[in-house]
Amino acid sequence: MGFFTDTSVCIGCKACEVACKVWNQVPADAGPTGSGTSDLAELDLLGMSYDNTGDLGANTWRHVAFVEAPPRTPGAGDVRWLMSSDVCKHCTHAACLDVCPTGALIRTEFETVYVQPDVCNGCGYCVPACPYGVIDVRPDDGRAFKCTLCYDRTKHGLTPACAQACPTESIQYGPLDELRERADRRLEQLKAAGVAEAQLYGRDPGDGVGGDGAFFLLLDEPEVYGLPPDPVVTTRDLPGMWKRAAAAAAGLAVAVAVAFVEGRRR
Amino acid sequence: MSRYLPYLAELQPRAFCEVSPELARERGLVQNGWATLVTARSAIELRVLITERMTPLRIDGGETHQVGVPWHFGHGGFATGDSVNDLLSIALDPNVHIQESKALTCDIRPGRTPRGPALRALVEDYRRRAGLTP
Ligand code: SF4
Repeated sequence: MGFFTDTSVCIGCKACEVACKVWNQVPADAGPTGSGTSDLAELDLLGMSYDNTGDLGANTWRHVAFVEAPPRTPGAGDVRWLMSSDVCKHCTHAACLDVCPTGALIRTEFETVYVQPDVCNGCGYCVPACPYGVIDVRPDDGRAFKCTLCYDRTKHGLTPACAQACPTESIQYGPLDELRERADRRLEQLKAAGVAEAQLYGRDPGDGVGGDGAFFLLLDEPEVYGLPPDPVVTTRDLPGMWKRAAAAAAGLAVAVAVAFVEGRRR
Repeated sequence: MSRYLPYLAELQPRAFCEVSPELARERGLVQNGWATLVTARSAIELRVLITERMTPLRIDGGETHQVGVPWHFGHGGFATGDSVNDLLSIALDPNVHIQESKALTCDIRPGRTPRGPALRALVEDYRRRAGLTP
């Protein structure tokens, strides 16, 4: 199961962001993201169009970005006001899950990635491991938090809070193969309507993270939305690195043994 | 009401006005800085959001700028800011008893609004120069 977020119909109402916080009891993030302050007197504008959230973090599991992109042909037409609701990608090859030493991060029966708050010890290994910069540690709590894909709702057959709240069905929840089909059809439709830049992001199971459990339809390049264009699971090179390290260690052991044997002979 | 709810307050936490890059350049307004809006009634201060979505209007060969202001803010709650109602006349629509017009002419200048007697002096100066008061 996963999300398909079709940003072409998002109206930027931020209902998803609020519904997520209400259902999951995520604290309001008053200061700059990551500052961890919940003092609402510190609230301030970011000066980034209508986006005053900034990015995903321990206290923001859905983030609606507002991008004011220049018109397609420079100097002609209006600025394109792109809105997109970002979320944890629930990667097929999830680096956060690979590096978690306590086993707090698990793959659920819905193929989603979930942090068990009662197991997480707050070591923070998962934070730099995420190729999208999604998961983060809540400073006044110590533990890592991110989108749970509403595990507590889906377990009972309910739709995740954000998808339930979205008035335009920009956020769709369902079995991934069904969503992928739907996304392909939508992309075709947009292309036929002349939206040349429309593209799917994270849909391809052959990409660097094995495909995203939450993928997107974007109306421009991923960079325009602040998304990495070619994410790769950060633990990809670990087996190779360990092999090299093992070879080096074996070489050293041999050298030491030889030194002892040779030393005794003299 | 919504200014008192943390989850809504954090989405749009301060009163702001939207201006075109052209107007910002002309008046020395900076992104996220303060601006003072002055009308015949009063003056309020708002944070500046410079955006290409606002474009100057060409009317009769002249250039007219628009300033966009959301009606939402006040002193109460977590999402605070000056109330735009202060800029209006108090003529009410007879049917619904709400301000009859929410489009008006104004001036915009960089910086915060003076308070107390200085505010009155500022507005009076504008009125006199506009020929509204002798
Ligand atoms: S609820 Fe839907 S339409 Fe509203 S901001 Fe979120 S994705 Fe966009």
